[in-house]
Amino acid sequence: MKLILFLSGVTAIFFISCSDSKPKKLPILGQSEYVETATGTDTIYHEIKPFSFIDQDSTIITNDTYKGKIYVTDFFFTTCPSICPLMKIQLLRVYDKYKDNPEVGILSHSIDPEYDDVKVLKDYAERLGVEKGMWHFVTGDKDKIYDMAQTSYYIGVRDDGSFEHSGKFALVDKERHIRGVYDGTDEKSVDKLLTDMEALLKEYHTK
Amino acid sequence: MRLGYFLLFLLLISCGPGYKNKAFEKLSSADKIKFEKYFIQGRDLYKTNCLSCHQKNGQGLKKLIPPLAGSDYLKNNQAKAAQLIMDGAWETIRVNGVDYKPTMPAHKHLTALEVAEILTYINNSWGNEYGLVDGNKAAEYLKRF
Ligand code: HEC
Repeated sequence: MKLILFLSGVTAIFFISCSDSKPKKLPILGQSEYVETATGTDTIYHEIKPFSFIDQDSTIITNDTYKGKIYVTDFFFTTCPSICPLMKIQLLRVYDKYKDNPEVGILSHSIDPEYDDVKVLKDYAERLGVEKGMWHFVTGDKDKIYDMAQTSYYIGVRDDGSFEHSGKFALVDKERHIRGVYDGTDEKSVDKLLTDMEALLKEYHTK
Repeated sequence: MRLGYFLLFLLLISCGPGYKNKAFEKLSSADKIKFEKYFIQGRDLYKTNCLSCHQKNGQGLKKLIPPLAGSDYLKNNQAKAAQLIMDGAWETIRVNGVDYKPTMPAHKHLTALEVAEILTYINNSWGNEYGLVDGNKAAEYLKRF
């Protein structure tokens, strides 16, 4: 009897894990537009706007930096008293897993770019133990950074003096579409990000 | 009243972090009770004020945020630690051989008693055995600067 229970338990686990191993394609997030063409309608998906910032090594970082890569992005500042350390601990999981994978990048924007200049960001990255060039900490024009957060990545920051911000991560694919948004302070949500990244990389490899 | 302590006792075993360390065993029974109350309060205060930086396990974050677990600084600078919690950081602090930047914020909303509770918690968690800090002691520490 016990054996039967055990076996049915094992099969149940087997089925559950099997249905899990066929991941659905990740959705494309954001407002899509539909345009009439000669052959029907085309969908134009929301796309990350071109940008240009400067990173901890004084390198200019643009969308081209992430060409042929999927990337995870967030908004933070180095003197953040609240959620940033938690977010960085979670981003370190992404970094540790993918630091040697040329198809993956990380982009952390400072929302306090006047204080967080190249030197401060360099020190911050070094203190975090980030060496490889796959994780760029960028600074630049404050309005442009806020605009990227609000209108490109949809992970809003508010400039109400307190630098209240959401702690969210966005996952962007090689076509600059947003494929997922996650709570960067929540370990479980970041577990989901890591599985979604695997699924997304697979999309490119099974094409 | 007895029942209250008994329930408190049950709560303590059920949440059982190893706070019953050598520092605890040396205390008088009155101080043991104080210690337990402080420890529980301190744990809650830690969660709301400190955990996001110094982390659940007191490990801090790489070279950005120093560890409290096994910190030589905390062990040897109790008065300064009290001041640091209240007023925020004002100088580079070296913890276990690593220099950190003074980015710790002030916690002016805390009372001396609450600082004592937090110190008692971090002094005796994660393997630390730095003992009880009572409210009077904390008030004295805070006046020293
Ligand atoms: C924004 C992140 C942050 C928060 C929140 C924070 N700390 Fe710190 N803490 C730091 C940093 C950074 C240092 C190093 C300061 C320096 O070098 O001057 C530090 C240093 C310390 C130290 C002395 C060094 C050591 O590791 O022993 C103690 C003790 C300490 N913090 C306790 C606390 C307590 C208790 C709280 C909550 C009341 C707290 N901290 C909240 C970032 C933080």
